[in-house]
Order: sequence, then C-alpha cells, then structure tokens
Amino acid sequence: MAITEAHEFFIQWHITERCNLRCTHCYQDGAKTDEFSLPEAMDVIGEVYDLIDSWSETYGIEFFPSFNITGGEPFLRHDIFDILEEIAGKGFDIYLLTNGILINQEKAQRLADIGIKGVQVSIEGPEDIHDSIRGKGSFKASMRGVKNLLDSGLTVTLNTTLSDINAAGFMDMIEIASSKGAQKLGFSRLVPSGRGAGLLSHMLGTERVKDLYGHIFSAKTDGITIVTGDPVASQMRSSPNGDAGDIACGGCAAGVSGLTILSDGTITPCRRLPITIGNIRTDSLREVWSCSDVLNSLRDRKKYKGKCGTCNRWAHCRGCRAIAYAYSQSKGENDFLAEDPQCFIIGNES
Amino acid sequence: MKKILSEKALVKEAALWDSLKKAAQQNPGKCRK
Repeated sequence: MAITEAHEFFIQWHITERCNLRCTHCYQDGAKTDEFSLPEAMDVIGEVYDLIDSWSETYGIEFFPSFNITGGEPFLRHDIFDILEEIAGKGFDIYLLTNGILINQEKAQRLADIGIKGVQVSIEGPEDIHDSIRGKGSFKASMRGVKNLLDSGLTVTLNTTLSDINAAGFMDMIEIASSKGAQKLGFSRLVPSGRGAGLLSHMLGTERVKDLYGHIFSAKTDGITIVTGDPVASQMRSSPNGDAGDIACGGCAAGVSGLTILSDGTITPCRRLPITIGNIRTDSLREVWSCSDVLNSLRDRKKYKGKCGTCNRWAHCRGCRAIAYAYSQSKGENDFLAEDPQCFIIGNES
Repeated sequence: MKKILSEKALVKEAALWDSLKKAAQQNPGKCRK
C-alpha cells in the first residue's frame, strides 16, 4: 500500500568545513579537516540513492528526496560541480546554502544548467549589521553573488539567523530582498553552539520572539515569500484540532525527515544538533536511521520534557531540538529532549 | 565496503515506516517540515 502522502527526505551535506568567513554565531567550530575525496563523495551519493530506492521499493512510499549542499563554504571545494552533477544525475532535488561570495557569473550559470532548485544566501540584516557579524565588506561581496544567481534565473532565499544583535533590523530585510530581486526571505533562530556558544545571552526572549514573528507574518512583503524551518513559527500559522497524536508528521525534521552528514562523515540528526549518531565511512546510513537511540528518542513523545512533552501540537512541531539542546547545555545538562525555551505557544490551551 | 543491514534494523525500519504511514493517513492533506 502506498503512503497517502509523499514523504520528504533530505540529506544536509556539509561537503567541507573550510570557510572564507568567520561569522560570530556559526554553529560549527571549523575543526573538521578529514574531508571526503571525490571518489568517497560519489560513494556517499550512491548510498543515499540506494537508501531511498530500498525504502521506496520495500514499503511502497513515494519520496521527495533532496540534498542540501553546504559547508563551511561549499564553493571552496574545487570539485563541487562534479558532486552536484552526480547528485542531479541520480534524480535528487538540490538546494545550496552558501555565503554567495565565490559565485561569479560563470558558476551561477553552471548551477542553473544543473537545475539547482534554490540557493540560500545568508544575510544577517542591513549592511552594517551584516558586516558586524560576518566581517567587513561581506555584505557587498555576498550581494554580488546574489545578483549573479538571480541573473542566471535561479531562485534565491536570503536567510537571517535571528538574535538580539540583528532582530531590530529584520523587517528591513523585506525591502532589501525586494530591491535585490530575491524571491524569498527566510529566518531561523540563533542556536548557541559551536563558535556561537558564547552568544547565549543574545538569544531572543520568548516575548521578543512572539512579537517579532507576529510582525513578520503580518507584514506587507512586496511579493517576497517568507519561509522558515522553525517549527514554532510554522505553528503560528496553524490551527490545531485537538491533540495531533503520538506520531511525528511535520515540524522539526530531526529523526523524521532528514539527516545531516558532516565533512568528515559524521552523521547527526540535524545540522545544528551536534550529537554524533554514526559515521557514513563505517556505518550503514539505513541502519543508523532505524536503530539510532537518539533518533528513536526524537520520535518518542513520552520522552519529551517540559512544555514540549505536554503540548498537543507535538506531532506537528516538537520545537527546535537544537535550541533545546544548546540551552540545556548552558544549564549543565545535555538534554536534546528538553523543552524549546523560546516557544510562546501553549499547545494545551489551543 | 558493502554495508549489510542487520535483521534487527530491518524489523525496526519496518515498524518506523509503518508508523509514518499511519501519521500521513491521520493527517490528510498534511510529512515534511
């Protein structure tokens, strides 16, 4: 029996941890140097293809499979186009996450020729705010890349990581995105891990998140589409009808619809949740997906703590596990099943 | 190196996808982030 709805499954693949910027809030620490060779990278793509093919054939499930290719800065790998062409040749949708600085007209056109579905470029606010986080001159350099991408007909999302450093400037991003011609504007919340661990005090308070999200979703957007992977933000636009149940469907992707592979092969549940659950160089991705204690805990409602554990929106949300984990670490715990400390939606009252 | 799936993994995998199918059926019109 085929599943009644197609199931999204994505691999976020950090093909390098090398980067040409040193952003203050980065969730990576830049320490991993043991990158895949090109033949190893081709093996990874083959394993992911076989994984999806096996699931589809065994369980009669239709998938929307995709790769999010990122770094570090992915364009620091000289063989990135070999990797992208192999992934595209296997039929996966491809999205790129980049700072855009290395994307000239020729590279942008090659991306368009490959059929890249979308490119997310990190922009932290107006130029002065962006440069204070990502380095002097980086705003203009990234925007040159954005122009090249748009000139090649690609879909571009400008994405902002929200903290109290840049929250006040986010509404200006609508005008910036519009003036540059970007089709989408995205946002995510700061996760104080990796190099960003020292920014814990810059996390937005619950009321500030609620107020900001309210402004974002009620703003006139000049035709710009607002997008976010933040499950709490998505719940603002959702009306619950009683308890959503005990099986995860939608919301946080960790354990449900995606996996992350780091540049040295480390497998984690999410790009921002730094808990090692295997290494693709030695472990079967298929076995990790079904047998990892961490992933199975993420799928188990009974194991969740605090307001996430009692929320009737659990199946569709589960909060941001990465923020819950990073915040719990700041209190001397290591609990990826803790409540999302910035959630302002009390599910049991809905 | 060929990675062989263990019997334990196959059993767990079948249960997992069975539950995700049920979730999709219980949420018509809604499994992606």
